[in-house]
Amino acid sequence: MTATVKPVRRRKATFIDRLYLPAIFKGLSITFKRMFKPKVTMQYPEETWTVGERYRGVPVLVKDDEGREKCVACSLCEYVCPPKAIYIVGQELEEGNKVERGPAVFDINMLRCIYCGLCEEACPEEAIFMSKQYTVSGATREELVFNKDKLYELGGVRSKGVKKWKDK
Amino acid sequence: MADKVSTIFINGTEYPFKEGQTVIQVCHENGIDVPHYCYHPGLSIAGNCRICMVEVEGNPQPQISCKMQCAPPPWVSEPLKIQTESEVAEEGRSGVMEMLLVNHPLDCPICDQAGECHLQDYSYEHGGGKASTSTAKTKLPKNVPFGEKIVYDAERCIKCTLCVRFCQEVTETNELDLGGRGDEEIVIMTSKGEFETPYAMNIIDICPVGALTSKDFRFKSRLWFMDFAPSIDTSSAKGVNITTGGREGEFLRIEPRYNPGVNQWWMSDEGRLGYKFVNSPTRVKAPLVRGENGELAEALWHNAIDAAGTALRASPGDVLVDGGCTLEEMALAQELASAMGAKAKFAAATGEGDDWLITEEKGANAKGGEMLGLARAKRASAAAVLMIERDEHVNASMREKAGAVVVFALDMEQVPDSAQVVFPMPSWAEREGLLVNIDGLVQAMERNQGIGPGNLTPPVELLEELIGEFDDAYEWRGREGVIESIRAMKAFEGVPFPGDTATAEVGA
Repeated sequence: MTATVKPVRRRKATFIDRLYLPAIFKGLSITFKRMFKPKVTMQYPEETWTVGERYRGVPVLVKDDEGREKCVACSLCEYVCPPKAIYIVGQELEEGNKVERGPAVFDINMLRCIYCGLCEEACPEEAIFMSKQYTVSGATREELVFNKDKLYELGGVRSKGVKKWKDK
Repeated sequence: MADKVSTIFINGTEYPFKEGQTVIQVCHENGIDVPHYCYHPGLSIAGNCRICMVEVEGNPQPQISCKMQCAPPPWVSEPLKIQTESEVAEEGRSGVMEMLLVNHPLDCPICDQAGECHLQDYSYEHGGGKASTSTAKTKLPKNVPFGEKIVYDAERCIKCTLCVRFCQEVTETNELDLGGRGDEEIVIMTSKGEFETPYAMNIIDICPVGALTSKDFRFKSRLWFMDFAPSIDTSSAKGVNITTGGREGEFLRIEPRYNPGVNQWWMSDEGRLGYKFVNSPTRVKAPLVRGENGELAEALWHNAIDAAGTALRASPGDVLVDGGCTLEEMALAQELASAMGAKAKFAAATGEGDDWLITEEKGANAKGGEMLGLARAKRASAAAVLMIERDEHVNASMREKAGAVVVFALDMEQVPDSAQVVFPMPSWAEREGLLVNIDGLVQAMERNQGIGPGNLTPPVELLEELIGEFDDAYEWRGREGVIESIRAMKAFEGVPFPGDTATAEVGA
């Protein structure tokens, strides 16, 4: 079946239309009128949103109040991550440490992350959280693969919650 | 006197049994799953974990199926009636699970056994999911070294004594025993911190929980990210059946695979740790051709094959292959040599052996080479083509003195100065092929996609290309065709190949 084509006749531009000046002045008059009225939009980036309690921003790693990494490199977040944005390599921590295992490499590719929050949900150690940080920018692709140091810097310290190794 | 009872009813179905068999054996033979920790088909029966409980009709208490004979007492003429999934059996198992978990730390995120842990599996299948006690868990030594290669975690141990029995019954070296009592019972080393036996790491495989872990594999990767493939151990000529495991190109571990005719459930530590050379940072990853400036430079595959043909036509000679090369590669090496009017030889190292799984012969396919009629190269001699996988077979003096122009090498270190064309040699875990073990058994190994640099053309195809450089009428046969022509040889008459009969098939 062929599509039916219905020709629409265009109105021909008059001489005044073709001058374009009335249209320019009309536009400028709106601009100048708005300049002196109160602002109704948010002045981003000077002003930012206060996001809700359950907002899912950049996933970050946290340390406990003794400055220890909470992550034990169990790789459950890596497994559950739908876009495979997380990459972890485990390592054995030095003797004397109360936990045997920690991450040697913990990368989150923010170009891949879809902010679903499944990593936070899967984490048995309460080590990864969805932060309120929603601005992610960088000049190169490499810059947007957040490494362990960057993730801890964003995450900071969280003293509440699971702290399995406290009295061990 | 009643007739001897020779059948048993399991879940209402009648199964025959052989004399001396226990209930769990008949269940497993017939595909009925009965959980077990301390039971291992290759070891004596201890009956201490109690998880394999089944209901016996007429008996109010559940019985452990691993120690229970299928034959009823002589004064009973009726066969036993067993229920494996009844309420009584499940209640028993759930109780056992709860008791085992009283002192077991819940550190699955840290534990390396997670994913292949029986305690995890059975807790999910049979556990009640709650504890009736609230006492603190016992603190026991963690991270205890058992020799150089094994780490013991006493908190995770469920004292099934599989490792103790392995050292007593299989290796008969008695390095392990139980010490302490009650809550504080742990496995201890009776020898001075070292294993005498070269088979010690098998206790890691048989440990149903994460109490015994391998120092080598510790925390390297999660099991569920790895690729596994059935293969054959090439560190000795016994043809031990193994499973190779790797992730994203890195070879991570080797485990034994059950084959009743060769290695049963076991393998040597030497074979288990003999994969390190595959992860070498200096692997040959692309074909190399020596340019006019005298340096080896990466080339396209077809250009490298052309260059190899030209180089070989200019200086034809013998073909010297690694004793670990597959049967197909050796057969094609022989054809290539005869196309050049020369002979094919194989080189294989020898070393110390024992009377079990470590052979003095180290070439995994040395027997296959002999059956094909290849001569064994004892000392360095001239050759035009070299195929090198392991350093020790085609050793340094052989490599340097051969003056070979075409070299199949795994590692850049193995490439002699005389090489004009270098082809990358995939390691045994990255190739598929047949190996003949020292007893003449032909076994197949499969390629593991998770190991090696990938995208390597199999040597079988390259050898066929090289034969084609000499023989214009050569017809491409592929691996299957080469196997067909090997089977037509006189030396292989009546030899079963994998897939033919049950005996030649690789183990389950």
